[in-house]
Formats: sequence, C-alpha cells, structure tokens
Amino acid sequence: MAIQGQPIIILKEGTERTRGKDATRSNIMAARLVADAIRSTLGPRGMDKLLVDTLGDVVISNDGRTILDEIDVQHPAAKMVVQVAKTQDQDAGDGTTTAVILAGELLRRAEVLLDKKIHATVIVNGYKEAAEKARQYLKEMAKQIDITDEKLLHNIAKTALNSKGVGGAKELLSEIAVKAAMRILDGGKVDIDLVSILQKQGKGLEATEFVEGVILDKEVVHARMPKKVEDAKIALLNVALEIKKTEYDAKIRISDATKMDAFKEEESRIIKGLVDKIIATGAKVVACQKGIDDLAQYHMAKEGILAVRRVKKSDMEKLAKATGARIVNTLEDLSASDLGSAGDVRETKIGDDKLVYVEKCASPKAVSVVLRGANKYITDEAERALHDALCVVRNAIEDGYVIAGGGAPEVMLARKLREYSTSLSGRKQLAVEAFADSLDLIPKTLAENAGMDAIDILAQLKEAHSKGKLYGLNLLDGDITDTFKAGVIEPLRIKEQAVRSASEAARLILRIDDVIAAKKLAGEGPPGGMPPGGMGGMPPGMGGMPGMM
Amino acid sequence: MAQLSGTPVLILREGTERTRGKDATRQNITAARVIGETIRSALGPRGMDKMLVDNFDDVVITNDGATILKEIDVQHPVAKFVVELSKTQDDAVGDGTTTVAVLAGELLKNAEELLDAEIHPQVIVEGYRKSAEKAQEILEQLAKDVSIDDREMLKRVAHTSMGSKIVADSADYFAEMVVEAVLKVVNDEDKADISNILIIKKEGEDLLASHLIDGIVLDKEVVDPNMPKKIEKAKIALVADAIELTKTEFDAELSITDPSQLESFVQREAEMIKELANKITNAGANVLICQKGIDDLAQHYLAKKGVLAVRRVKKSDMEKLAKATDAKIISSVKDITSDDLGSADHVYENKVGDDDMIFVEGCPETKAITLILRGGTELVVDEADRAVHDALCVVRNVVNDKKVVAGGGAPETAIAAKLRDYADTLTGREQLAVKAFADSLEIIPFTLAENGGLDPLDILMQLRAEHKQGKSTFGVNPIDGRVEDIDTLGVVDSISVKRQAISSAAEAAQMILRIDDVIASKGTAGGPPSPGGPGGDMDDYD
Repeated sequence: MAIQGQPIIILKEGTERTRGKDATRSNIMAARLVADAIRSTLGPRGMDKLLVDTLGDVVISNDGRTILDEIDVQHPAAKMVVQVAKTQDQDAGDGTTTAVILAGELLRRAEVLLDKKIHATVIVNGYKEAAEKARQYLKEMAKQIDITDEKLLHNIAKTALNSKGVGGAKELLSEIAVKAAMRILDGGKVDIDLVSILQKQGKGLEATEFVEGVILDKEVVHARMPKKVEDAKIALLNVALEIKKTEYDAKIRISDATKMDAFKEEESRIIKGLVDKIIATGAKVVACQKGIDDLAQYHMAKEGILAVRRVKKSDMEKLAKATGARIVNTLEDLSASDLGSAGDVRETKIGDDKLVYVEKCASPKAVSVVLRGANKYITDEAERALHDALCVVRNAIEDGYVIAGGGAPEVMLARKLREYSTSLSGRKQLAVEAFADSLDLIPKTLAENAGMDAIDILAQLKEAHSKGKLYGLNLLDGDITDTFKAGVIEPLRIKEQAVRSASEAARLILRIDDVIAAKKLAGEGPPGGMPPGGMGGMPPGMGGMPGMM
Repeated sequence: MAQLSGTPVLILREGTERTRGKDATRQNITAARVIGETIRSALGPRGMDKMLVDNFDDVVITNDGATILKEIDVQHPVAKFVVELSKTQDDAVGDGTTTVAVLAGELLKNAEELLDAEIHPQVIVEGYRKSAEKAQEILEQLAKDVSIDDREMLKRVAHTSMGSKIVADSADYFAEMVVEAVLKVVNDEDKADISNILIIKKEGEDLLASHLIDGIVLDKEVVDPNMPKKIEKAKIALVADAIELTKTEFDAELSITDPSQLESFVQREAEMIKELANKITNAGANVLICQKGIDDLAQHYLAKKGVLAVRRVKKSDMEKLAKATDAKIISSVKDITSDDLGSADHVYENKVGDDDMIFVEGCPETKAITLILRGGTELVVDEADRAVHDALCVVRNVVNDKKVVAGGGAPETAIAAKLRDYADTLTGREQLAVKAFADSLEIIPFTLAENGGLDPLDILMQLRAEHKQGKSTFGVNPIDGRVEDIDTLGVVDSISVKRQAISSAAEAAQMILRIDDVIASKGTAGGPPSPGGPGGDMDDYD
C-alpha cells in the first residue's frame, strides 16, 4: 500500500487479489484459453474432443457448448466465456463455437490496444458501437425466405450438421429435422421440445427412424394385455392405480374370525373400482405416470386395455398434446371427454428393448425420432447434432431471415466496419478496427481447420468482397464461392446472437480491473485475527495502483 | 501462449490431463488397436480361447469376442469405445463380435499411416464414409438368396458360426439342433423370434447329451412329494399371485379378546387357504404353475386333489408358458375359470443330471422350444451357451433376411478388390483413404490364415489373384490350409453380421479419427497416459 506505515489489511487472510493491468491480462488470457481450446472444432472440417469426467464417463463431441460444459473450468473469467456458449445455445441453438472464439479474439485484439495505452473504457465503447453496426449490416445482408421452401430449410439443417460427426446420415438427419419442424409449426412458432429424441444402440445412424407420434420408452405392463390397439381412446393418469393409504398411520383391527378376508376383499374391490372407472369411459389405452398395482393390471388386461406405467412427466405432456387427452389427477373426475385418441398404439421391439409407439394421433403436433448408432457415444453426439439442426431450422422458420455461411458474413462485416471506423474520430476508431480484425478469425479458422492456407484464403475472400461478391468458404469442395448459392446457409439469428454475446462478454471482461478471490474452503482452518467483512472498508480511488500484494 | 509471458493461467481444475493434436489422435488409435490385437487370435475356426480371471477369482474361458471384452476391465476411454462396439454387434446381430473389433483396429492402423503422410483426418473420415457405403452396396451384390426351406444351407450357417467355438467338434449335431429350434419359432410372416427359445444349462454328461425339447422346461421341481410327477392331458393354470394368505395393504392386526376365539382364527385361516386351492381345482386345473409362493397347506390340499404344482417360476417363463399353452395368466385366484386354463399333452418331472425339472410338452402352440445344454463342467456349458446363442442369432438373421454370403474372408477380399477399383474413380486424397479401407478389410482373411498357422501374406496374395479372375467366393480354409472356393466348402455367413460389422467398425473409426483433443478430469484411474500438460501450454495461433 502506498499509504505509508503499516499495510492495512482489510480483507480476510488468504484472500487472493489481482489488480489493474495484471487482473485484466490474466482475465483476457483465461478467456482466450477457453476460446483456443475449442477453436479446432469449428467448421465442417473441425475435429472432435474426447472428454473424460471424474467418474470416467466419456463424451465425444464437436459441439462447443457440450465441450465447455464438460471441461471443468475454474478461472472466473473463463467461466464467463463458458456462459457465452450457454446463452448462445439457449437463444440460437447453434454457433456456440463461433461465439466463444470470437469473444476470445476480441479480447486478444483489445490487449494489443491496452498495450498502446488506450483506456479500457474506450475499447469497450468502440466494441459496443461496432457490435451495433454489425447487427445492422448483418440485417442488410440477410435474405428473407419463403418458409415453405423445404429445400432451403434442408440446406440450413445440413449446414448445421456438416461439422458434426454424423457423416453419412447428414442427409437423413437434415430431412428429419425439416420434417419434424414443419410438422410442429404452429402459428409461426416451432417448439422443438415437442420433438422427442430417443437413442437405441444397434444398427447404424442410417437406420434412424422418424415417427409421427409419441414413443414411450416403456413396455406394456402385463403379458396378457394386447400389444396393439387401433383407433385407441387414451386415458392419461397422473394417479397411482393402487390402494391409497391415509396420511395418518392406520391399522386394521380384526376381532372377528369371519371377517378376516373381508378386508382384503374390500381392498381388491377398491382396486377393481378404480379400473372400472377407467373401463366405464371406454378407454382402451392407459398411460399412467405412477405405478399400477398387479391386480389393476390384471383387471385391465382382462378388458383388453393396453397400459403403460411410470411414464415420464414430459412424455405425458407430449401425449396430452398429441392425442388431445387431458391428464387426470383423480379418477373421480375421469370422464369420456378427458380421453384422447390415436389411430395406432403398439408395442415394438428394437434390439432387446420394448417401446410403445403412439401413432396417428388426433393432433400431429408431436413427433419422435429414434436415433440408432454403433454405440452410445455416437448416438449421444447424433442427438446433439439433431438438436442443433432443429434449432437452426426453427430459427429460420420463426425469423424468416437467413444469411450465407462459410465465413461470408464475417468478411463482409469486417470490411464494412473498417470503412465505418474511418468515419469516427478519436481512439474509438482503433477499437472498431480491432473488432473488424477479430471477425477475420472465423474464415481464417475455417480454412486452418481444413488444412488450407488461412492467409491466402482470407486474401482471396477480401478481394472477392471488394468486387462486391459476397463469397465465403465452401469447405466441402475446398474453394471460395458464393456460399449462399452453394447451399451453405445459416439463420440470421445465429450470427446476430454470436456477435452480440461475444462482444458483450468481451466488454464485461475488459471492464474488470480488480479480482478478489476468497480463499478456497478446502484450505486450512479459519483465519485468525482479521475481522470479516472485507470489502466494506475499501477506500475509493485505489483503481490505478498497481502491484498491491 | 508462451510468448504472453508471466504466470501461466490455469483455466482447468488442477490435475486435469490433456492431450492434444497428433499426440491425442495417435494415443487413441493405439488404444483401439490394442483391443483389436488382443482378440485377434480368437478369430476363425483355428482361433484360440482366452482364459479370464476376475477380481473374485471367477474364471471364464471363451472364444467369443464380446464376452472377452466384457470381462477384461478396460480403462482407456477409446478402448472402451471399441468394447462398446463389440457389445452392440452382439445385441444387434449376435455374432461377428471379434470381427468388428479387429476391423476397427485395422481401419485405425491404416489411417495412422495416412496421417503420417500428412493427410488431414477429415479427408480420411470422408473416404472411410464413402467406402463403408460402397462396401454395403458390394456386399448386397455378393449375397445369395436363401429359402428358409433350405435346411442344408441353414445348417451350414450355424456350423460356420460354431466352427470357432468349443462345440466345433460336435458342430454338426448342434447345427441340426439350432436350425430345428429356429425353424420352430418362425411365425406367419416368416420371421423368427428366438426369444421363444429357452436355453437350460446343466453341467453333467457331455456336450452330445444336449438335446431339444419340443415344449418348455422349467428348472424347478414339483413342490410337494405327494403330488403326481406326471400328468397327461394337462389343464394348466398360470397364476401370478401367491397361493397363500395375502395381507391387506394397510397394517392389520388381530385382536383376540376371548381365548375361545383363538382356535377359530387359526381355523379361518386354514379355510381361506383351502378355498384358494379349491378355486383352482374347481376350475378343472390339474397343473398349477405359480409365479410366487405356494403355502404348505395349499400344497397339501392341491396334492390331495392330484394337482401338480410348481412355484416361483420366472416371469419370462410364465409369459412363454402362456403363449405356448394358450393359458391366460391370472392375478387373482378368485376369478379363475376354466377359460383361463391352458393345455399340454404331457407335464412331467424328470431328472436332468442331479436336478429335477418340469417338462411341459405337446403344447397347442408349437412356437416354444427348449434347448438343454449339457457338458463336462460349468465352464464348458457356459461356453457352449454362448456358442449356441451366436448360432441361433445367425440362423435367425438368415431366416429373416433370406440372404447369405460366403465365409472364410471371401466377401472381405471381394469388397476390398472392388473398393480399389472404386478408389480409382475418385479424385484427390480420398482415394488413399478408400484404398486404406480396402486394405483394412483384408485383415480378416489375413488373420484367419495367421491363426491357422499359415503364411498370411502368401495366402492373401493367392486370394487376390483368384479374386482378380472373378472368383469372388474364394476364401481361406484355415483347416486344410489353402485357398479355395468357400461356397463349395459350405462355409456361409449371415449377411447382417457382415453388414453390421462393416458399418459399426467404420462408424467407430471415423469417430475416433475426428478427435484431436482429450481432456480427462482427475480421478479417472488410468486415464489417457502421459498428459500433454495443463491447460496453460497451448500453442499460439498467430
């Protein structure tokens, strides 16, 4: 402390503190490391990562969000970058790698400016302005689409799937994604939660199946029940078909030998009564979220009712939507009007597992996909890939705007931002320029990952753009071309969101000049002496003092 | 990042191991190859067995790839991946579990050579993908149609599958049994469901004492010695409920206030049980098969009425019995009627080895069959079980797809030859990957020859020469040690086994090749070896 005399310790002993340039630098470094870690996964020629967690579970993935979720990031600034991936995934569903490496690059460029003694807030302002401009330029470049154009949607899905390890099943999965999205399209909105994805190992990805209906990963409860019901009336129960006990501890006291079996009889009668209520409504299929007593199963079997128990809540909701049934919480209320309907309910065997398919539902707004593959790692990755494909198709349908892929928008943005920066006065100009330079990283990384010469490619792209041709990289053929025409197309939302969240994260990290980390709890006993309450007494105006220990 | 001097910034938890780039790829490839190498010697009719001892000193002796891999405790994540592959192969088609692991290992080995030649892994992945697709096409062309009435062919399929297992010496005998069993469970749509085939293992006598029972065998005995041991024209009741006093769901207690009542409660209990027994006999049943327990007293009453009763039968067996005898499983004895009963010509208790078992024969639905496996020791019977299971699966596959391909490495050699032609039609580096795929397929005839003690290279060259002349059914005969027409030799394989093996191995190889970074958290004992250093020492990219 510069204030002479004894150092005044205001923080709890053991608290680590980094300030000023050191803090900024260490934060930038951490964020860049995260970005760097996933850089090699970008694009159709990107590679996968194999992650092993502390329990020995293995994940193989190309998905930025998944990778960052799995690796155990410790540094607080690094965690913020991981957050960028999460936000991107939630809002846009794809482009997580792009967002993260863009954030990393923005910070790297900012560091150069910091070295030139440009104040962090200037950079922050410049970045903010650049990001706003970028959104405007992106909108200008975007094209409105006809959402019934399935071929275009197909291309969008394929662009998202290109980078994932689904190889030969790309066509099939993109077809499934488009078909599913079109089917659940409702009032301009696509709720992809309506698509349930199941994994069953065996065969190959090409055997993946698209089902118009709901699939329950459960078997029919009783051997005597029918395995197939047509034109089924379906009851959805959120109540156990069992003897319900009182909340109070209750005990039966039998004082008459002749009444010994009467109680058991009564219990059987109660169960029979429950089943009778279902039978009375005319239901032929029962999906129960809770348990079904053996005896109840038996009575239903005798009536030719197909029953499934312990169905997941989310599946119950899907069933409700698909069949038009109402989920009933007490059997007293169950009436024929609560039932839903489906044309075809049947139990099917896949490999060694039994599944119940509910097809030809009253409303076709529920679709399912059964993913097949040689093992769990493959089906896991396929599920993530399919999810991304669904997200991009959703984005395209909901927003109606798409943009070329393959780095074309980034090159365009960089060019326009450079132009724009010359119109600015003062140091902000440099920040906007740095932002523009950062965007170059996307086409560069795409080329690099494909084993091409990044500098050459970038130069060619810039040249094409200067001639007004909005070219990007078509990595499947390995050259530069009009990527929109080549079918490499992304929803506008992904690019917008990536630019926005990357710049926000970069700005947030740049503004930090002080990191105060409490001692890890795992450390030795409680520190003595110092009163707790650390930060309260911080004198103001210490911002610029470097080297505090 | 080294040039950004200062203290290294660690973003990962301390102790996290990381391997990147070529190192990672190479280590992964090695791990997968080791698995392939480990079980290679088990391939083919001259393949050897492995003896595995687990932590509890339990011993397994087997030649079955899936079983070997399941028993050895693999740690490396990529090695586990290959093990999974073998498991999937087993679940999906039942055989070819060694082939798939060996093939995946070889695909990776050949990929490594291409990586050394500075070919981008993605190019190899793309080449492998195309090859796998093409290979499936070629495989279809090589396949021959089979009618399910062609018992001779089905027997040859079973024989081929068992040729490498312990039962090889009695393969003819077993092949006959397996085909018989599978044909019995073929349904109206010409599909076989082998879950209707029950396998009972009993050590004792020898393998040749194994036999088929046209019906269902339960590894249980008659509950009461006073019951009959044999019933002709049986009326069978299947009860899923216990034949004993069931208690209420609520806690119940008797409150006896008068000593004179003591007797009456006991009596009432006895009466209730008697009523249950009577319900069953009144319905006309003379055989009772119960999924749960049967009370002693109930046994007594049932015995008095001449009912043969069996208790604690597995649920899956109950379901098979229901199918076979046309009985309906009853959950509440009170409701039993004569309609619920099933029938069988004979139900009897018989000794197999030292144990009594219940035989239910002459069922109205014939689609239930039991295979009793005998053998000198438990280890032999277990291995015979695995061999028979594989054979049942391949015969089922053939019955279901009605297509076979030649064995002995012939289809692999043929596909390899055609893929090489196909490679020449491609431009660019993918060509090399397709060629590598072709070379990898030849590991199968190569290993067959090697395990047969032959010179694998000589054999392979001979094979290639024969195939060049269009003799696409030529393969290795490791028994006689020569190259010959496998078709005339009668070694045939199910096409789905080959199909699945090629597609799974290719899928796995592609997935492993795409990995360029391995991040392992601490605590994974024996995770990937030699860490690439903590997160801090990555190369900069400018």
